[in-house]
Amino acid sequence: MEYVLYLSLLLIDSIFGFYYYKRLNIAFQLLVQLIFITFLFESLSELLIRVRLINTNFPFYHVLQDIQLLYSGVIYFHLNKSFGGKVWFIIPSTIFLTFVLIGISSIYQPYVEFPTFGSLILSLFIIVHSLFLYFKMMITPSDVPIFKQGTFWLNSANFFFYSVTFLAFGYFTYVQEQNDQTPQWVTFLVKASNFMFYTLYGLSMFYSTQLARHGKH
Amino acid sequence: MENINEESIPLIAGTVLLLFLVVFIIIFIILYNKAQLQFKFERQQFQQDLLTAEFEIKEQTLNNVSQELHDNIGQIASLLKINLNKVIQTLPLSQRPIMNESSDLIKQLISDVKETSTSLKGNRITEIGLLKAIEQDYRRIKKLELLNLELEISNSEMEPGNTTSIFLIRIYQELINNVLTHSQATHAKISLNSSRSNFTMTIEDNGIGFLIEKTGNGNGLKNLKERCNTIGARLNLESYPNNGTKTSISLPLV
Repeated sequence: MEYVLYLSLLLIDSIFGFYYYKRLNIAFQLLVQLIFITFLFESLSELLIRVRLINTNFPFYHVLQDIQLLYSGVIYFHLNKSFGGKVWFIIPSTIFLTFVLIGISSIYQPYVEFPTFGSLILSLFIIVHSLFLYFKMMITPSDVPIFKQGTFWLNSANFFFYSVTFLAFGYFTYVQEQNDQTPQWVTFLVKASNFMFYTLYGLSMFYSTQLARHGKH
Repeated sequence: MENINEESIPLIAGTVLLLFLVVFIIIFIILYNKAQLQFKFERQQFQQDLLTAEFEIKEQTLNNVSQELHDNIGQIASLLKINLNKVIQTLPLSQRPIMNESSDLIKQLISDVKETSTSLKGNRITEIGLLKAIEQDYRRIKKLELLNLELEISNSEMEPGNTTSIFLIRIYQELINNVLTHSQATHAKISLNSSRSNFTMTIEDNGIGFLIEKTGNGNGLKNLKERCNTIGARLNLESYPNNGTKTSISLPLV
């Protein structure tokens, strides 16, 4: 049931995003694409598990986190660009880290294992970018109230979610090495974070369309 | 006991992390709001400085035009009158009435140029005071007989400072110009009240009026609002189509 709700949330976000696609700036358009790709991957993996073609959806998550890193890098590139200043370094670092993640999945850790060190790299990458964006927002404040800025909600969603998953996945890795069982609350925390994450993504898109309607981004 | 402690470490760490994240975001929001207020204040300050500089340049330009009118055009008109008077003396009596009429027109021209030159000069307000300056301007316009113009000064206890007065006279001139140019009014009234605590200027006409919602963001009205903001005055505008316009400027005097 939870998984159905989660997929529904992804679908609602995607539909909303595509409906207002032209009103969104490029960073949020990429976000819509990312949410939709996530929806496709999650739905497809669940379907294949149900029809017993695969036993685990971990391989999908390996590929998905590569896509997430790539998209997130480009999204942060465009978000930082709107605040001015030099941001060219984001793209090469994103490409480099994407290859690192592919390498980890292909060579270091098998596709049937999850989370991987790649998950930790992805989380760290996004946490660093979200902190940098918070800094940029602080030095070039907008005249729009902060709770009505799509950028704030997007950045806060990323910061919160990836900080939680960084801890949770780090803990998962430790527990797996100890051949122990993960406590229920950790799984619950990750699931709750996912719900909150995509809800805040939806909110960020909503406020972004509102700002676009008034000629601001 | 040890097992319980070992199991609760990740839980405590998780709780601490969540608390840290929440506190971090709250602190960010507080600091951002502060930065936003500071930015808004600086921008307002900058806009005001820009407006004051623009005003000073305009005043300087008007003073230059006033000087030119007085020195050049006024002088030329005076010389023209002198020459014309000399020519009239040489003409036969039958031809003199038309030339006398021309001489009277030049006399009128000299007077109008002098009045216009005086009205453009910002310094005259510091010399004679705001109320007197408005009164002089009212008389100048009344002579043109474009409409039935009334002036009422209900209180003249105290006047605003020099710089504020110059701002107010320019606002007044713009409002009156709007009445003469756009309103198609047949009657207008200027009411002035200058007490110790407050200065109020109201200009109302019986003209065609306009829809404030449609023209509210036009340049003229925007400039008016900005000038009022610069001196700390409140602008109140009432207008309805075919029902005239009433503009009130209210300024507390410290």
